Amino acid sequence: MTSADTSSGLTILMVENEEVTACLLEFVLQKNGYRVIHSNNGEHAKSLITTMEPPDAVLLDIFLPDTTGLDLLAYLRTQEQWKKTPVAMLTANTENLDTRKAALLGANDYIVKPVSPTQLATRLNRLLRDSHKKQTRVA
Amino acid sequence: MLALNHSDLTLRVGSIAVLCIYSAVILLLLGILLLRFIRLAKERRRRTVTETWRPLLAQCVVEMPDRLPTLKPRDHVAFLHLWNHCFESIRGDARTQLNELARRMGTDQFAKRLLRARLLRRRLLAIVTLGHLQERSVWNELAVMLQADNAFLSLVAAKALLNIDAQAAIPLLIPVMSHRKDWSPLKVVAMFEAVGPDLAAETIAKAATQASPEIAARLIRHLAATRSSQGLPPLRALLQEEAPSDDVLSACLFLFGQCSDPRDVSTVREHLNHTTWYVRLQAASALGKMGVEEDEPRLIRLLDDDHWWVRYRAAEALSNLPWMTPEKLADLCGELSTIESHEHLLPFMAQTNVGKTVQVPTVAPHSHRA
Repeated sequence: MTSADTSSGLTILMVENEEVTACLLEFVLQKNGYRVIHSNNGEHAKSLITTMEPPDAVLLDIFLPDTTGLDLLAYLRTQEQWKKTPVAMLTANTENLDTRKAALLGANDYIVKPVSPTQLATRLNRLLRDSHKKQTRVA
Repeated sequence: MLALNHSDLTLRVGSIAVLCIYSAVILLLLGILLLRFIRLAKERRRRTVTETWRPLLAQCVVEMPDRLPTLKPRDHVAFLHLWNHCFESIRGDARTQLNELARRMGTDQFAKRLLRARLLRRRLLAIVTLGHLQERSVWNELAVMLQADNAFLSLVAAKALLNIDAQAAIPLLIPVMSHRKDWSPLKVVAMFEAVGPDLAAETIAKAATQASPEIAARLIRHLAATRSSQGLPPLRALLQEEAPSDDVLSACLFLFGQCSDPRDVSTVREHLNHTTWYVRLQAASALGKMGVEEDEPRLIRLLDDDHWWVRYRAAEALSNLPWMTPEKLADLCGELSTIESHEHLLPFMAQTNVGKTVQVPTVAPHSHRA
């Protein structure tokens, strides 16, 4: 079974301001069967968070032009419906501080940039699988 | 009559001057318009190249597109910018496919021609591209560029050489790193990111052992950023073989503290009584990170050092010791005999106490109610 089979129809909210990276990620994700909603700044992402149904997962860049990914993550976790949505942070900074902070704020995983397409698909599949398992256990 | 002639001449000179000024202004305006037109045309072309090629490059990361549009020579620079951007945004096997696409578009040949361009920014673009393409045929040209007067050009060439063949580039880079004062150690560490932390640390340490004290000290201080202890053996050998300068010695002690390898504790202890204050300071800081319980009295003795900064760092090191609790620190403070040592320890005691109260915020209200 390919990742495209397992992930077909699942929606990913990707918050990434860097156009080239966003285009590459979007293509890789679509190729793996995901539906991608792209936001390129914090303000737009916030409005999406307040208006749309939670997606299956969120890819969130740490550095955004108008806010930080961590602030956006904190905001996202204040929304009742989004509390259990799995979030993977995209970061070029592997310093412990960022990852620790992100984990404390409720991030489920972090992916280091530059991104490997194969690794991105694997990590995202695992994230969704873990989240699905957790929700089944709770139910 | 003479007066009239004079006024006629003045009038004529005035008209010519006004005409010249008007012409100059018009020429200037035309020049500005032309520059603006060229800039807009370039921008439009760049946008077209981006819009055409970005999806294709993204597709190439997953699968090679069957058909590729032709690339006009004048669009090749814009394409190179985009291609390099894409290349640096991904890693893994996808990079091989991007390289294949670039070669299909004749980018390797174009970049080789660009290497001799008059404009520095074009030469830099060519070097970066050829490095990404791992183009071995330009090895000698890049090796010569390591000696370029422009530090930026030489650093970019060094990175390209590392991308092409790291093992072969390192023997070339070590002597250059040890004599170029204009290479920022931060850039050097960043340059080695692609080759892995261990090889980076070992190479930088070897370069430091061959460098002048000034360059060596800067390189050693930045070795910590590689987060590898592979740089330690050459430095240990350096300290044993010869008496290094105080700057190099303090940089080594700083690194020993950062790496906290137990094999270096004895070296750190040896320098706690060094004649130079900043060597004692680095020894105290390092001991705070790697010391064992028997080192506590050594740090306490440094609280009475002649130099203010050494006393300060000794107090900080004592408070950082893993077994040091706020109670122990308070007991220690009470036992100190001099006012100076007492004063240095107080701020660190306050810090540990603040941490303590923050950790238990709910206890006070309960006990108050009771």
